[in-house]
Amino acid sequence: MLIDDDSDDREIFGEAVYDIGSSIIVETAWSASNALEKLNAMTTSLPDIIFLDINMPIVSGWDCLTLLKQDPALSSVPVVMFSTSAHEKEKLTAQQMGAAGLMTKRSSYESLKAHLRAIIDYFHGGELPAGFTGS
Amino acid sequence: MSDTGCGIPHDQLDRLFERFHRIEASGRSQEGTGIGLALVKELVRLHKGEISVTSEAGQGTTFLVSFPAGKDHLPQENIVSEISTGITPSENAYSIEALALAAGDQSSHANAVAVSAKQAGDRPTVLITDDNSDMLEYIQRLLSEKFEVVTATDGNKAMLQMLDRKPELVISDVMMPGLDGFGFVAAVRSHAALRSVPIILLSARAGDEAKVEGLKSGADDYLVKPFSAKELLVRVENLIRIIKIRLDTEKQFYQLFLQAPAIINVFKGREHVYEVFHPQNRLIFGEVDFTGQKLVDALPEVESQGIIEMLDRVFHTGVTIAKQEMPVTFINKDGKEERHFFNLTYQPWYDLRGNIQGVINFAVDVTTQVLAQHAIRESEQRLRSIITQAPVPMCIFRGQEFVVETANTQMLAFWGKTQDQVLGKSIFEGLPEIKGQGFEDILLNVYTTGERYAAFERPITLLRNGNLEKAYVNFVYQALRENDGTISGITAVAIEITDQVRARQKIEDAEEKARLAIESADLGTYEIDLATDKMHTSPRFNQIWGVADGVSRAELAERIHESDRQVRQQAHAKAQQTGALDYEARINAGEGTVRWVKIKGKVIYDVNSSPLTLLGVVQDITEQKEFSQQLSLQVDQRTIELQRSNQDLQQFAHVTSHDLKEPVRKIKLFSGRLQTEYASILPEKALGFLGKIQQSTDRMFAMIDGVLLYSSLNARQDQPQPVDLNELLTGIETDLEILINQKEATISSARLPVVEGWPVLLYQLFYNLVNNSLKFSKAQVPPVILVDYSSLPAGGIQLTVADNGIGFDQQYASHIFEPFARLNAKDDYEGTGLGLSLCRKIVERHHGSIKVESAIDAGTTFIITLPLKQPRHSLTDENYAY
Repeated sequence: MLIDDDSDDREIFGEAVYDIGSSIIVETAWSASNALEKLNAMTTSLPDIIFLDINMPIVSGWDCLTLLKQDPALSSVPVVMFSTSAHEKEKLTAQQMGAAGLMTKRSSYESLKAHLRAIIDYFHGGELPAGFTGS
Repeated sequence: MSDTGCGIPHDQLDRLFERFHRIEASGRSQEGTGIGLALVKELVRLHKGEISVTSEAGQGTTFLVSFPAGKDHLPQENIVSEISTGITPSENAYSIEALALAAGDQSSHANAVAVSAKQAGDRPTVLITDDNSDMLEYIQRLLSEKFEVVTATDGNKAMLQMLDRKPELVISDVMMPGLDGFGFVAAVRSHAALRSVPIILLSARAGDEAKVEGLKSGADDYLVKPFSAKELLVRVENLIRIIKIRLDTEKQFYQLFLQAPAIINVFKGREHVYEVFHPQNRLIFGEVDFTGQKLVDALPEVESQGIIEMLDRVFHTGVTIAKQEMPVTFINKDGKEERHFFNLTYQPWYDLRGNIQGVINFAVDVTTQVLAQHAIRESEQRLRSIITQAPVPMCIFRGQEFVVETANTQMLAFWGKTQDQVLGKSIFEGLPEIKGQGFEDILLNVYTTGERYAAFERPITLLRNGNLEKAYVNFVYQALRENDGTISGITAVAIEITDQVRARQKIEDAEEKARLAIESADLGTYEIDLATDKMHTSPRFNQIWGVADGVSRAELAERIHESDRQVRQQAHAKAQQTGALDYEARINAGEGTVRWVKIKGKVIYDVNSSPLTLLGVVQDITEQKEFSQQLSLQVDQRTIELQRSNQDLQQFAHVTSHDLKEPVRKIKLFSGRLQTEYASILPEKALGFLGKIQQSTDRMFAMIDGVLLYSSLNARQDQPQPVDLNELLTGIETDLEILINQKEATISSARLPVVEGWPVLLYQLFYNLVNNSLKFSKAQVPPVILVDYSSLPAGGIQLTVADNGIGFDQQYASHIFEPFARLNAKDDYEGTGLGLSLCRKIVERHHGSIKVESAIDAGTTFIITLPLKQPRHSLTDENYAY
């Protein structure tokens, strides 16, 4: 699942994941509340990974992360923070707030796909992708 | 004429005719005048004849007398033609005498005694001494009518009679066996009790020579036998009268003498018997009379005091001894020793014939004066000893020369002189350096007027231990008076107070300085007596508080602004602990004036550490307060501005790092997908455009990354590096190629130097400036951008970026460097509003400056100064949010 207010990013993300594996189901949400709404509506299964954009209006990615981690039903889902620029400070914050990792948004489609694939593989028992910070 | 008598011894023949010569130890009677043969010889001589004698002892004597015949050889006046038969009275007396001589009976003597006893009383007594009974009887008969007459037949008997009867007069024969007349006279004259009794010597020896001899022996008169009865009587009467007068005179004189105010003692003889014990002696010895006593018996205590020796000397040698203030110790009437002082003379006492009879002692008791003098001397001695022992400098100046008679060690120390240098010399000789310092007149005035002179803190320059030193002294000059009141010198007492004066002068200096400081600081001063709360305030204090003199402490406390009273209380509480008062408060200075004052005080404690006084100053700090309040307001304002600008910067960083990057990323991403996914179907030119897009987005990223780098500079430890500005500018031209071409702009630059700095930042700086010039160009005029530089005299360079653009009003010159500032409509001119603010930050980062000169439609010139070298660590010193 990707939570991002930017529709372009949601679109590219969906395309990229489909390119990686057509069997992977991608759910998207445009805001924190929308995401929670959708997650609460999932009765049979929860997403394997949640990608969460930091820079969102009203409820920021950080606030959203807090909400997710406060929800006992959702707290176990790994959350990868998604950010345009990756500062050391933000990496540290992500780690402290219980995120599984932090990934920078790519300005190249190929680069995006490569990173996403690595992260998805990791959470299916693969190697940690380069430039990814995980816990 | 020859006889058959006993004859005359041969050796006596020559003196046979001498008057009164008697041939002793012969068979002849003791009687005889001794003048018979002398008379014979005289008679023969008168008749110009001669007489001679021949004699053989035991056979007889023959006198041979021869006369010249006739009368022519005799003086005419002596010749008596008729021989008279009448007998003269003297012849009669002579014959009577002769008869009496022949008779010699003792009855008349016994009669005379009886008569004298019977008629003794007012009649004077006359003693007659003669070995010839006839003569005794004859004179007794002559005198008994008027005098009591006693008789004696020789000198020794006469002495006894004199002592017994005390006759007024003595008539004595010269020729007497045993003690003769001369011997008798001498005995009488040497007898103290009898010596003044007049003596008439009777003698058969006539002639001036004999008379002189008689008188010389001490007799008062001399009568030659035969004498007239009348003459004897007259002479006796005269002498008695004279002696009476003399005795009276003597008595009067003696009375006078006894009444003399001085002691006049007369000692007689070698034993120094008191002949006269003068009544004045009684003042010493009491009611005694030593007359007739030997000095050693009367006053045995004088024996060892040299008195007897002096008396002996005078008595034996006749010298006069005079002594002044001679001490003699007597045992007084109470048996105690008493010391007296006498001015005395011992002089010989001569009798009328010049024989020393004794010693006259003339003495004046000067004990009182001597003791007084002693007292004076002692008091002078005491004065000297006081001076010597005085704990303060003291000395005595003597005479008009002010000779240093005594000076104690303290005075010598004060003068810085030794005894040898000053003692016995005039003070102006001993201390020549004090000449001309005014002491001459002072001393002279004290000496002449006797007025005491006291000086306080008198400066004096003294040569002490080789240095001329200025000293300060308190001193007193006092006239030194003798017993009679005359001034003989000056005593000086001095106390050196140089240290005290110096210390006080220092204090005065310090006070003066403090006063000046207070005045120049415009401080008001006050003093509070903490026991009474009484206040003393200075005029300036009153002015600050708007009060009058004598304001009470409570009144002042009331004037403190209500909200500052707590401050005052706390300050006073603290002052009780620390002794120092310090606070600021607002006061009501009257007439609605409120002033800020600063009060500083100090508590003065007494010896027991209890607070005595509070000394304080007050300063009007209203202006300072207002100023600082204004300053504080300004600071607050600035702080707000700064905070806002910090926020701006944060926002800017945020925008740069996130929002700005997002669209660029997307351009990059989608143009990238166009290139990769649709390259086969796109025309060649479209692929070229895609390439430009890709290039621009990359540059854009670089810019954004540069700013991000700038924001996070303090976290990095980048060192500045040399930057070639020419290369830098070329790079910018390439980056802006599209815009430059589009605007047909011309960029020209001089050959620029290499400066030290951060390439990314300097790139950003010039990129922004050039971009700015292109952006704000005139619509129909191709932009011309000129980059130039010059070296600065103080080091570093000045760069100018000038254009021919639209320009702006110079009044906004400083405004345009503020972040997000816009002078033009967003629709006409694109821009984030960050460009120039970034430029300013970058220049400042490089320790340079940037300013702008512009006018509307007249182009814009940015002027940048930069150092050629950057100081180390410069970027990390500054504290930026990012």
